[in-house]
Amino acid sequence: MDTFVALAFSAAAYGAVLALAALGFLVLYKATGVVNFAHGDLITTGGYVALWFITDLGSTPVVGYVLAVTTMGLIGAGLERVAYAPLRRRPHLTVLIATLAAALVIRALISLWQGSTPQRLPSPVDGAVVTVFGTPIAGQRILIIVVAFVCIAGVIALFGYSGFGRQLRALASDREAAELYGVRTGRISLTAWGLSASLAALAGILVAPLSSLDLNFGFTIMLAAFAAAVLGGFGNLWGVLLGASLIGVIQYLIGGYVLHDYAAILPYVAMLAILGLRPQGLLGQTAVRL
Amino acid sequence: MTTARVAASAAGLYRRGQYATLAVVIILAAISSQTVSTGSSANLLNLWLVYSIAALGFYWIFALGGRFAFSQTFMMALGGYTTAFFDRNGVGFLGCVLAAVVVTAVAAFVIATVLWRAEHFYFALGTLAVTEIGVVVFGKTSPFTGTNGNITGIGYPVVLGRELRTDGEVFWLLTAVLAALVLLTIWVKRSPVARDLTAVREMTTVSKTLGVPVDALRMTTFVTGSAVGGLAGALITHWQGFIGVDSFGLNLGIGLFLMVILGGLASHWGALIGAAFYVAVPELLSGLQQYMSILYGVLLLVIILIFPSGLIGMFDTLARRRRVNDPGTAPS
Repeated sequence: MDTFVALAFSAAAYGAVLALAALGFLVLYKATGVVNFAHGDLITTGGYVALWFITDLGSTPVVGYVLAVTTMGLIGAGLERVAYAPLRRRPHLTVLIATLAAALVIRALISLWQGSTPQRLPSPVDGAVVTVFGTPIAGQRILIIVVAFVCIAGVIALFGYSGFGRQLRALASDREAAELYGVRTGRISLTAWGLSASLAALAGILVAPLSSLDLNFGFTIMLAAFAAAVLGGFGNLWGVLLGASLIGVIQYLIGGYVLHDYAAILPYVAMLAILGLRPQGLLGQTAVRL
Repeated sequence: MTTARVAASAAGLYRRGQYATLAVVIILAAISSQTVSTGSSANLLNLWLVYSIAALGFYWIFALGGRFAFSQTFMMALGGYTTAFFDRNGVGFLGCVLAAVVVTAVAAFVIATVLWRAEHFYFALGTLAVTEIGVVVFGKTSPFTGTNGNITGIGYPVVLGRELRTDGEVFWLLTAVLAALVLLTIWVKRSPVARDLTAVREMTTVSKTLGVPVDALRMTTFVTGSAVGGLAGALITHWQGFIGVDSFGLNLGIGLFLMVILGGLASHWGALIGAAFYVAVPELLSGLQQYMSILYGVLLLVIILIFPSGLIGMFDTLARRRRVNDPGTAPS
């Protein structure tokens, strides 16, 4: 029972982080059609920026976190201006390769700035332990679940009930028609990049205290988030939440009990299975366009 | 789709004189292999040949087949481990390499069958998943992958009863393999299949309605390209006598991609030029190791934005810029 509760909390926390990462990725995909392979490195950057605010500038963890998320939002908007705006009319493959190139550059810059030794991000709940059903659970996991829950609710409200969300959905379903109706694509794209980078940073900051920050830190999360997005049906909001929870369960509960040595690859196996059996995802619908 | 447009911009110049170019490349390589005496240069020359072989396989998948696959390093590693496995069980060099090619081809067939409905980005993701699974599985200790994915003491290549022990000797084997594969590529590109492949890349659905065997062509390019990757992995393993899972990580995956894009999708020579670049530049700029990734990233951006047809198409692009009154060929 103890193990089960501990693993269930790990699964929920991991799923929540993946949901944040995948949502950040999807906001961008919906608004601009860009598949951003640099998302993982934005996650890493978020962790390092928070570390910089906390250790080098001496701010408290919470202030450092908030500053880092804000900074990353600005960096995201900056990336839109510098890297994406000149590419807007280019084919998708060009943009995809450009994001790969951006990922290479970001990763190299981080390694120049912070070196490649793994580092630890401090947390406001360091060492705190909450006992649930007689099982000690790391405070960080509870923090992740609470913060992610609030943020995901915020993003869902933003998507479903705001003008921004309506324009975003219009862009996602038919870009040209949306433009004809006067949706300001430039402004939406800027906001989407900022929001996407902020969500990436938030995901990175929340999960970093549980492990350690290194150059590959965000890449692994991004891949698992891809798996979550594919599982749920790419672009489907509820599907992504379902997919992220499933990946958490698969990796921690199944991986924790049965296939311990191979827990790290279970999300990829799940992704392959879905791509083979139901490429539109669990909740997705097929739509073919020429 | 971009690949198609880029490939279409291959100038007629590069279609002519293919055999002559191949001969010149071989002669140049042979001369440099005879003039370099230091161990590290001979080593780099062989590395260039092996990477060219792997990049050529990736070129088949990416530029001819129009599919973005991340699995080429997985195929190289699989080929390497297969050949090491058979080598330990007393199979001769040619048997080992043949087994490696067959095993990777079968693996590619299985992967492509699983992903047969996955288009574009999903195919890329699926193959990326395969690679990540491979990195974990190959890194474990097992009879197939040795201790933590490291196997040493693999036998030297043996051709016609002769053991190739030095870099200089292995050079000839690698050159022969690369030359054969380049010839094969030339013939494929001159055959009617090349037109079918262009149709599949550019307008998948339309070519399906016109009776072009889309699935079969895609399967063929992926399986053969992957098998060539497996061949490269097997050759590198026998040449170095060692295989480690670290040499086939994501870095090499991005490297292979860089080679093909950098050299130019327009022509198979691009893969060779890109591989030469990838091997030579870190060596020339050895003091700037930590800036290499930045250089690669920036280069990739510059190439994809300004010279979408790569180094080999650079001359074309520049020449075309001079003829500005030709709007049809503007890089898209």
